[in-house]
Amino acid sequence: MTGAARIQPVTHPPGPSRNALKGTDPGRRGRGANGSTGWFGAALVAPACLVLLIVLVLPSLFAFAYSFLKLNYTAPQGFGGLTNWNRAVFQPEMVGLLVRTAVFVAGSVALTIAVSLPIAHFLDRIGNRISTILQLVVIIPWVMSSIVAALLFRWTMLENIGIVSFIAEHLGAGWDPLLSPTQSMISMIVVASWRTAGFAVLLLLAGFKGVDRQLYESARIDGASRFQEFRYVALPGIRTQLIIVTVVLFMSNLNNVEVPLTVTNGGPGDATMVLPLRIYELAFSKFDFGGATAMAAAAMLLNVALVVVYLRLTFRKR
Amino acid sequence: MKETKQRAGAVRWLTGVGLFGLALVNLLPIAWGGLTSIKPANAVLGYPPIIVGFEPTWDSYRTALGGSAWPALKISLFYSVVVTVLGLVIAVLCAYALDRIEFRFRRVILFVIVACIPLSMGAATLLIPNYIYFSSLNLVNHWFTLPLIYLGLNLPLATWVMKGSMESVPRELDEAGRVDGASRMGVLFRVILPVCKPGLVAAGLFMFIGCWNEFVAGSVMVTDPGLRPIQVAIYQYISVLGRQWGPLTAAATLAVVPILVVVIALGRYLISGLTSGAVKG
Amino acid sequence: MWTFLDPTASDPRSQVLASIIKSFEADNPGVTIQVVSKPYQTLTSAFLSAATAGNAPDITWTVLDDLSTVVGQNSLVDLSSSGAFPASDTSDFSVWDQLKVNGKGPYGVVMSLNYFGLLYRTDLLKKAGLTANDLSTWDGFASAVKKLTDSATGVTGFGQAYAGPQGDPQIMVPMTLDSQDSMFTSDGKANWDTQAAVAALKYETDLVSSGATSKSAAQWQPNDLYDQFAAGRIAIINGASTRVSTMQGQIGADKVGYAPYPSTTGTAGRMFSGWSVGVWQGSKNKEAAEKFVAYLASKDSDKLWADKAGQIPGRKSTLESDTSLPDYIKTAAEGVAKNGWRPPLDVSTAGWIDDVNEAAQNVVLNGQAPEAALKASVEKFNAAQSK
Repeated sequence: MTGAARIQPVTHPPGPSRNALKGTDPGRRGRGANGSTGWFGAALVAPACLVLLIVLVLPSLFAFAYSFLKLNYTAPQGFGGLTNWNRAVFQPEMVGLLVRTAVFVAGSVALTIAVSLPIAHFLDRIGNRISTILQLVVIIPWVMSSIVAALLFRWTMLENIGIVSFIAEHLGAGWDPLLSPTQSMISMIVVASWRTAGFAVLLLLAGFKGVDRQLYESARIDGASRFQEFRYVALPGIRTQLIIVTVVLFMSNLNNVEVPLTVTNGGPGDATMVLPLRIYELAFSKFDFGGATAMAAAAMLLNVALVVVYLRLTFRKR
Repeated sequence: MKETKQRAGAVRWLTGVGLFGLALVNLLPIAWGGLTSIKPANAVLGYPPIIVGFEPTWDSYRTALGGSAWPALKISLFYSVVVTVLGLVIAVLCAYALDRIEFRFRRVILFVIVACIPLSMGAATLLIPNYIYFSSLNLVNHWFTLPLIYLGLNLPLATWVMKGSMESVPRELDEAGRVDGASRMGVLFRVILPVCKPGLVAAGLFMFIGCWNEFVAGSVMVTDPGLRPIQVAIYQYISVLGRQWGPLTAAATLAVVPILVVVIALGRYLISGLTSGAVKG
Repeated sequence: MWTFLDPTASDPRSQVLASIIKSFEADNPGVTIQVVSKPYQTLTSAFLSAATAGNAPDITWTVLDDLSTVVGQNSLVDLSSSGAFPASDTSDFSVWDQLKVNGKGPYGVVMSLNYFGLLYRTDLLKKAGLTANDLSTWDGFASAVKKLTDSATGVTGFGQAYAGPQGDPQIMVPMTLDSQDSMFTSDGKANWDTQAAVAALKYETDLVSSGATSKSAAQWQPNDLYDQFAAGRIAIINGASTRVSTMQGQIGADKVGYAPYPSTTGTAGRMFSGWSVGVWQGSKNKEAAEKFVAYLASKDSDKLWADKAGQIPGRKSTLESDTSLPDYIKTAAEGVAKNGWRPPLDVSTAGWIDDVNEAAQNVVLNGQAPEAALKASVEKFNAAQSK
């Protein structure tokens, strides 16, 4: 909030630089190298680390190991090696599954950002009161129960007894998106974006608010159009937020079960069956827990791989 | 000059209309849900969709509140508040150490915390082994089960937001505080945190919403009806007898109200809080 | 006890459960029944996991579709050897022997019996000049639904739902059972690629191609059918008896009718479903648990279920003596007792309905020939079963 927080569009201050991670960044030198601060620092991070260890890290490792066991329903019965993996993951159907998942995730993230950017930019420029109201409008789908929100969207917009269908019928057009594979996928993408747009708008709006107004001024003086202002001043200024939103949305959609389950349940046929939904189906409809866990472990690896990419991006150029 | 001004005006007007349209589309399902929650059972389904011409009733809300929605709202409030308060304390301490204190493994810890953010989102797919793991540790179905799990799910992001918020607080303030004789913790609480108030609110808001909306763990890790959070209670209305639209939408509406209240009250801090450098990496 | 019912809720079934629990606890001081209400979609998985983890409940409700899986886990008590279920009493049950597995069992008492048939809108049938009698033969049914289809108003004659999860059996199942004993071979493999099944699939998908059934059947889940029915968009739907009272509540009892499937013989098998209430092998209170389960199915309780909660009586005696039963309940109860059919319990049959319905999806969406579609479906099911 002080002047120190102002950012330059491209290079930009506070952020863990590579050097900071190594602990050799001169700007990060704490008082006294190690020794007295060593245990103190460790003590302060200990609670957080303990919780994360118990709740996130260990269960994930356990689940990974679990996928290599032979399972009788849910009970382990000895080491199974790659049996579960062979049955569930190394199958030709995985290719189609991954492709559809990629389409869904990429589509949702792209659409969310494409919609959130202009909205956030607009909110940045208008007065506070309207801004608050519009913010609420945008985040309501995000804070509402995900299953109910998706059900309601499906009912009003996609089903033939909904309002949109009624209007379409009166305009003489047909309206049955859930019967067409392409339209179903598009519908799913729209619902996912609809739900996450609120989060993205808030984050991006925060980013825009951090851009130095001076930079806009000087650009305008230089004769830049509104669009050029956006492209060369605003956009670079929110680079970090954009990266974070992208990756968080990626993770969220890659693991999302509620939207595919409620909107299409993988249909019509298999056209919208995506990875997390298939895992859910294996576990709760087919009771193939071994296969479900193997697939979930594979998904976890995918997530971790994406995390590595994410870290590289966030800690670059600092 | 005048032409660009006119063009700018036209663009602004178009954008306004476009956004208004978007707002309408955005809220249509939610508005429909609100409408459904006050309809009598025989007006819920019909074609053409029934928008007017029915007698509004509070029956659905009575059913929802008389059922499991009310205790669920209370316990969810408990979970969310406890986790937010506790989580902020832990996150603040951790972020302070990561930002201001030299110690071994600092880099590793930071890496792990950031890496946990995506892990916390993949929880649903690892449900069965997670349940067996927690069960074997005898951590299921206690009053602290969900708070513990929610803490784990929300700490990474909160810590990271706090760290970013602290980064932009100039070191000179630290120095000044030390010169005045404050200890390390004193500097944290009396110098840094007051400046980071917006960041605190932001992290707290994310945690609160995260706890309030969590569904998967809440439905599996506790079986005691008294421990069940609001999202699970809402889901009960998708029952064996079909989707009970009335109580379902009523319960969902009830669940959204507290969040909206919190967001309205603290929303402005959220924007400025994130601006203070929190989200800049 | 884990169940999908919630004694604190206001719906009739839950309230009957609450009163039964109250009277049992009054008769058996020292015993309290703690009810945990769980979402029905995950009850089975929850129980399977908990049984493995060693913290399953004493009593659990399992939907009959999943029963073979749970029985296969060997986590339920064989009730026939329990003192709470003397043969003199169990002979009164409508469903008891049908759930034996290779001479052992049954492993639960069936509650919330459900009989599949046709739900029809009396107002729409009347408008077309039809009655339930017109629905008693397959040919009659086909022409009736065509008559009920009105493209001007967008109303279709017959609604089917081929999508899951945990879908319902569609009309090809009863039609197939008119010509063969079971949808499964004697060793538990899929048996729906027979000539009779192919003809039945052709019948149900022809209804789609002629417009009498909406093409949306390919992506509708059972819940969607009831929404369509309540909205008045479909005249007759393939439905469950347990939903009749909900429909009545939503559109008025005078508008909802229930009829059994058409039939060529009077003795063909007709699928029923329900919830098996069983006792966990690892329970520390087996005796009390068994006593309560028996109490749930006692003569008095059965009367309560039938009269206050609109359930199909689980006992033949209730069916005979209770004069206040609505007609559709009587139809359904007789159906279950006389020709109720279930898949075998000694093999895992999880997901078979979805596999059968998938064949219909392929025919409707991809134009696959019924014979090829059923063959693929049979192969898929057998492959998954043998893992």
